[in-house]
Amino acid sequence: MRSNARRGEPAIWLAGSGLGICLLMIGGMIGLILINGLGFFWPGELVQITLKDGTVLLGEVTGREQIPQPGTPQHLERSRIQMKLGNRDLTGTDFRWIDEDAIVSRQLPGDALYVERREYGPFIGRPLRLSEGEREVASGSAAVIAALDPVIERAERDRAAIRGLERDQLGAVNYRMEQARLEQRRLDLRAQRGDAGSAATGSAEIERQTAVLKEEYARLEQQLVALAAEGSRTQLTLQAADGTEKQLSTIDIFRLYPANQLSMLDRARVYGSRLWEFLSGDPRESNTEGGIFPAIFGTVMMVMLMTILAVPFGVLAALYLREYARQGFFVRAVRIAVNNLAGVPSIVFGVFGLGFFVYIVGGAIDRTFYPESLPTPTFGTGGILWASLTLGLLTVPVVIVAAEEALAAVPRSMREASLAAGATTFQTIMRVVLPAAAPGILTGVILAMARGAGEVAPLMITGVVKLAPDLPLDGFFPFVHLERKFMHLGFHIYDVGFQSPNVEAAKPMVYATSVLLLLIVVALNLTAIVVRNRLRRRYQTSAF
Amino acid sequence: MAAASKRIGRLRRIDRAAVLVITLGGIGVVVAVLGILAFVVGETIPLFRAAALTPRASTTVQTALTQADAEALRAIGLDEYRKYLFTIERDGVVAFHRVETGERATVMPIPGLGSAVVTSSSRTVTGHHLAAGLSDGRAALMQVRSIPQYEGQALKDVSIEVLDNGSVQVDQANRPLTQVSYVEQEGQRFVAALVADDEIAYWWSSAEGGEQRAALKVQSSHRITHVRIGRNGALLAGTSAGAVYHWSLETTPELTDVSPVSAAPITALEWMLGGNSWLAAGEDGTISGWLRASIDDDRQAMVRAHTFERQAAPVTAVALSGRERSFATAGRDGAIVLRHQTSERVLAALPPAGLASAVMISPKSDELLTLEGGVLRRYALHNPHPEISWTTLFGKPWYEGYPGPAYVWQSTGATDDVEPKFSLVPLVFGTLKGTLYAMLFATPLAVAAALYTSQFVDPLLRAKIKPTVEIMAALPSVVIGFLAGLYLAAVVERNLVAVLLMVPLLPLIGTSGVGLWRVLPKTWTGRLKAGTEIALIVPLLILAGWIAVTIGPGVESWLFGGDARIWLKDHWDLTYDQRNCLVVGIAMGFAVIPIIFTISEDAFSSVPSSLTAASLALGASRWQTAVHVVLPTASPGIFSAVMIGFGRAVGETMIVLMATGNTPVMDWSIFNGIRTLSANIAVEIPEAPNGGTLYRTLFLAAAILFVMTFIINTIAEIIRQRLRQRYKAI
Repeated sequence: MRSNARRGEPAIWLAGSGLGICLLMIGGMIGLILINGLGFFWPGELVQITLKDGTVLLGEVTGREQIPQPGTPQHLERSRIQMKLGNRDLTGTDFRWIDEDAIVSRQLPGDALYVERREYGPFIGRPLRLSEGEREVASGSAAVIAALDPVIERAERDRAAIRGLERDQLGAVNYRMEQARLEQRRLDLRAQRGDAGSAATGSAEIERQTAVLKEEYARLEQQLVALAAEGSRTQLTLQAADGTEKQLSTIDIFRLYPANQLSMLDRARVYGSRLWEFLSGDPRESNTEGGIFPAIFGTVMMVMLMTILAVPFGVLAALYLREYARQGFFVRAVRIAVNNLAGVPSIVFGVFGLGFFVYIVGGAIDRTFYPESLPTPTFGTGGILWASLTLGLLTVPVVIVAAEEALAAVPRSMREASLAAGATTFQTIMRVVLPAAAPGILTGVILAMARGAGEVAPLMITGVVKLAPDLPLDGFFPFVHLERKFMHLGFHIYDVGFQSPNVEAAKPMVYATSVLLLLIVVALNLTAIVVRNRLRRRYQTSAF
Repeated sequence: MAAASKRIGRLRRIDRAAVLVITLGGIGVVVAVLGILAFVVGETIPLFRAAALTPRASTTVQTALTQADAEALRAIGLDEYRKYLFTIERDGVVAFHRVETGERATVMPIPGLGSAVVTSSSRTVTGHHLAAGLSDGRAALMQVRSIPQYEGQALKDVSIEVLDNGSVQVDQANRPLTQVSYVEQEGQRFVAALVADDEIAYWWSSAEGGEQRAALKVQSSHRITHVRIGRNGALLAGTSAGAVYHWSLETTPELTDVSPVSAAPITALEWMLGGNSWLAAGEDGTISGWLRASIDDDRQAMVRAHTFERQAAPVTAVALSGRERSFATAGRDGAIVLRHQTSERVLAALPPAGLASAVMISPKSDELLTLEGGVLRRYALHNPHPEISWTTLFGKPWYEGYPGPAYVWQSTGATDDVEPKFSLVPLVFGTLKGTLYAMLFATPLAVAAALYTSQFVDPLLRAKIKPTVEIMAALPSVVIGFLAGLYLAAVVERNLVAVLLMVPLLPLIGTSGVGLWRVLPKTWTGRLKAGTEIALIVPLLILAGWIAVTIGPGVESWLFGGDARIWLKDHWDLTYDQRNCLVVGIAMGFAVIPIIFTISEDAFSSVPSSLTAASLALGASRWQTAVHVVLPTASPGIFSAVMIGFGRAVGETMIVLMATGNTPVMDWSIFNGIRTLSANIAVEIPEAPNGGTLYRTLFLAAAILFVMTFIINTIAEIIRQRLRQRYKAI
């Protein structure tokens, strides 16, 4: 043992502990996120508990901890459980901590329903009856549960119809009305400059169009009202644990399941359906429920735009620095500077993006091309274009550094062979150097994309918002709306986790979003690592 | 042959074009990227520019006011749109003069004047409350309102009205009011007037509408020169002896302070915007700012908070801006100096000219006007960032409501007349504090892990460990921040003692593995690859964590009486914020570990193997080799790794935004929150109007961050390149 100590073996173990702690932290963090994020979709059992004072509660058990009572002998001796009770409209809170001492009995009632609805979070209770207009379709919990499936399916169809009407048809009318208003304003501006003749004829035409549109709008609105009325005829009456009755229109019900009657397969099905909604749906209830599709879309589109903007310029700069510039003090200084830019805080780039792109460039574009919508800014406010450009600037140094390294790794002999065969420098670069360096450049690009996807701070001030009703890509000319604000996974995490009024209810959503963001970023990084390793191997063989 | 040479010519042209495009493009990209710094710095430059006063046309106004009336008849003002100048004239009218031409547009008689004569007048800077002191001891109270009239988008004219606020009997002995001051605040009215050389008559209405009066006297040998009412009925009187008396209005006025402002008589006295501090000038040219501050727990006293640059001649008039804390002082020689209260800065000056009987700053603070006899001179005032100076950014100004000079960041207050506080010091401090704790956490872990991985782990295993740690670098900081803020902060708060216990326990128990290892049969351990120890270390660490959490509560009751947070408060006076530097240190440390790890690992592994081989061959153990050969050789690399990690932590935004309370406090306690430069930018820039002071100050914060990280990274990079050269040489 003593000789062991003299030889420094314990110190080696101490250093090993450092590595161990790092690995544990990574594993712990990823595990924590995965468990919380993916567990969120799993339908749990609904437990009915009776307390000593006679209160009956029904809900999912979401946590258990020892009760801290510092300074007393009972400190951490007793436990309490956290229950998700839902029914926010009735009780005002979703969650409640219950001392285990106070619990008299626990049961798993078979007819307990978990209902996901449009507002106030989930409802947890027992079904009493199902009625359509005045007519009662089913009563008694078993009969109601049996009759529910087709009703819920119809509600989904109704909702789809309403959404189609709202988004596609009404949206189109709205869009055309806005265009007409802007056209009118444009004509007014022209009239102010003295071109009154054409303005007058134009105005009459626009007025006629607007009238037609208004009529169309009224007609669609009527249809919408009719659809909604038809949908809300079917009513489901539920009873909460404390006996309060609550009537829900089935059209407001998104999903419901008798939590304690589900087989493993049923549970998996609910899990899948929730996961799918999360990935493909729109957010509800100020982002704490529903899906995050717009955020996924925004993130992907922003990263693509950023890549398109950053990669060509990055490669160009790398080519210049490595292949064309005379190597010397200047190039070395530039190289260090570029290298360091990759380490400049992202918020600084954000500030630059806001000051330069949004206010100066965007403001100039607005004054030149969109005077009719002023003072409402079009490009003179944050938008996906400015956010992508800002991130592009942020990632250009990463691309330059990676591309330079890749270019430097191309063996000199290959260049010399090409030049000796009579190729020009440009031919050599295009046909020999770039193809050989492509995997390396690609690694850099992927790493840049991963960094871009994970950045939030610069986006917060250049165009990301908590809720953007319109995607930057849609069916209206010119289809790509680069001036629009957009949603982003990273910002979604920040916003829902820290700005939402009901953090406890929103937490699972944040974890789930984190899982997704993590998956994207880690997948990109793993790809980069794989590409890099392949590349190394290739050069190792080509060295012979 | 011809075709071939044509083709070669074309290739040459393409080649030359490519040279041009790539060179221009490459230089362009590099310049553009470097241009960011230039832009960010450029945006801050206007902050430090002086204000500009440019003369505009002057006109002659028909007014009977002369220099002799300067102190008594002070009601001279301008409407928001700079269309009309109004004066209260001795003959009992409010006269409106067109600013452009000087002609009298309207004359409105003072309501309820009767047979009395106007002996004094006053005007408030905001709200245009006018008072006319009368010869029979009454004061007529009025308010001027201006309503703009638009034609299309353009301002056509301003219609003016004078509201009658009634007249009050200030002096019951019916003496003429030789000076008057009138303030209205939340429905309460206060009127004070000078009725004798050493006596002030004070009249005020309570919130319920009742009227009250008091007679206030100064030392009989002193002559009162100025009477001014501030916030909540606080009253100031300047005297010929250079003292300023201050009464606060409780149920009756109480004399609280007699401040020795100057050795010479007071020549100007004015409450600052908001009425919480005041400014006095003496016959000797001194100008000082005063406010009531807590000198100890329950006592307040009037203190000299600001000393302004002396003016060449005694100050006879002061004009306040109604928007911010700039003011102009007019000297007896006719010189006018524009200054700022908080920064004590001289913003602009006008050379001596004719002796002004009145100076005023237009309500929108875009024009300075002087009235000199009947001549109205106008100066365009461009004063976009008066509150910024070296002192307000990095020094310790004395703000209203503070017991002493302090470093404070508080860009917006509850009301408009709260002093904005733009000290970057708490933010720089917060940045460095957060970074320091993060580095304390990350450096030992990362360097130890790197040393272990590079020296004591089999290359095959290493090829798996490295990417794992590198993945850690890719974790988006928003995810780390969210976990730190919503999960870790709560866990640490609940298990504070356990977390602190882990600091010694984890390494201790991890290291104890060396004993266990020896117990294992040599036939097993001998066959395993180097680095397999980690498989034993990790469970040991988990065990250590479990022990810490288990014995934590016991230790807490034993050492800290059950609750460490209360104990900290009682014994060390440390408050415990849930989102504190301990949490930030761990979270941000977590974010920089992979950077430090990767770079140090590279530095360790590229130490030439000839060195280690030589050391081992001479009989040194692997640890001795690692510490005495590898570590010193690679130390510049470690240094640069730590620097780069530092640079990353300095600029980290999302983690600190989410894991700290964003409170700009300044102390070293690990249990307090912080606000960093970067988080501050993220929080405040969306609300900062383009081109405003806050906007530019945040750009300055960004520039500081940029320069800080750029310098740190450059040093690190240069060291790293040197090290590479050295390795090449070995």
